[in-house]
Amino acid sequence: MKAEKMIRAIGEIDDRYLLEAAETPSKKSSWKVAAVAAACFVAVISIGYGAVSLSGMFSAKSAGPGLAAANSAAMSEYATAKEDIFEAGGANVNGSVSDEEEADMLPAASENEGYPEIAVRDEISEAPIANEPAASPSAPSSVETQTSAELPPGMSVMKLKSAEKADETRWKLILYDAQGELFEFEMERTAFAMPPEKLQAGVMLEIRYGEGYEPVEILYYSAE
Amino acid sequence: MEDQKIVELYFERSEQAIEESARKYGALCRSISQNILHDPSEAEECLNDTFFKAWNAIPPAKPAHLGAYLAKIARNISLNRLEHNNAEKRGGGSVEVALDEIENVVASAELEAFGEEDLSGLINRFLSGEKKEHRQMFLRRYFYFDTPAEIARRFSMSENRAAVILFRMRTRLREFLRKEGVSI
Repeated sequence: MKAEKMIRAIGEIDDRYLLEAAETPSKKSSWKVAAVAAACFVAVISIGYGAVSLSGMFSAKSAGPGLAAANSAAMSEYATAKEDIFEAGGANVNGSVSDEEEADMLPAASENEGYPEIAVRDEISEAPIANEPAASPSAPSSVETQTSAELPPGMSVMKLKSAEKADETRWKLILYDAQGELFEFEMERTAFAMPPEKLQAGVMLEIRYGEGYEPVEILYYSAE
Repeated sequence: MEDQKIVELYFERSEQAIEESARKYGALCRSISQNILHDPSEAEECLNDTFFKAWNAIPPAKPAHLGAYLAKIARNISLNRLEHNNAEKRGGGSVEVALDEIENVVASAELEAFGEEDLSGLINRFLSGEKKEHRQMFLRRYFYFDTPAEIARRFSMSENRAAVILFRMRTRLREFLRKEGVSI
């Protein structure tokens, strides 16, 4: 079996990597967390001051200049701390996010220990999915009003870039994820709730994921 | 005791080599067997077999990293035993789930032309290009057969994050193998 061959091959991996994985990982430094907390605190104070100033509770003559200077310094400190964090590898300044951060944005994993077997099409169609919204696969228009935040765990809506036949039974999909990055995968034709031939670029697909976050089903789609 | 010293004890055919190996690496090897077999008594038997096999193999073998060497032996013995135990049944244990995950990486791949050593070389190269933490997570999952929950605890992250990182590593591995000529 191919998977077993891979598992055996992983067993012959370089000793250095095995020892590296056996060692206890070093605790992540807490300075980043502290810096973010400090920056947030400064920002909250600054915003609070701004709100108070706007409401006219303080006289501009008495306290304004001093506090304004403090506010300016605080904002500068916040900006510096933020840059430090970005440079430290937390995320790119241009807004793209790392795997770790993106993972946090994704739906929570199942509470089940380990991974259950991936559901097959027939099981899905026969039994209702836990926490699935009331909308049925035959009612694609419901996607239009559904935001990602409202989706149950293990589901997401993505915009289709292209769909093409990969082979006799599989279809290759290229989609944009929530961050606008391309996401590509292939799926069995049986995983589509509707004929994949009808898919057009720009439609929104609702995708159901397995426990390993592999897409397992395209439940329905609608125009953007 | 230093690994080198323990290996020397093996070469001297001193039984203290086994004691020292068990003291230093017994827990590691036992946890691998336990993760694979989920049976403490079988894990204990695999541990004994591991040291017995090491005793017979050293010399002539002279492992540079005794811990990794023993871990590999323990893993192979445990996988063989699992294969034997599961000849007729296939459950939802940690190894079976890991196999399912890897199956997605190599589904329809033409691996027949590749020996285990070739594949190991490719996986080594793939891992060398990964971040240290991701590499550790990958091996915790597919070498040591830790569950995603255990990995999440070990790396102080949510289970969700661990699952996503592993999924993306599998995707990258699949792509890497494709580029390296393993038809997928």
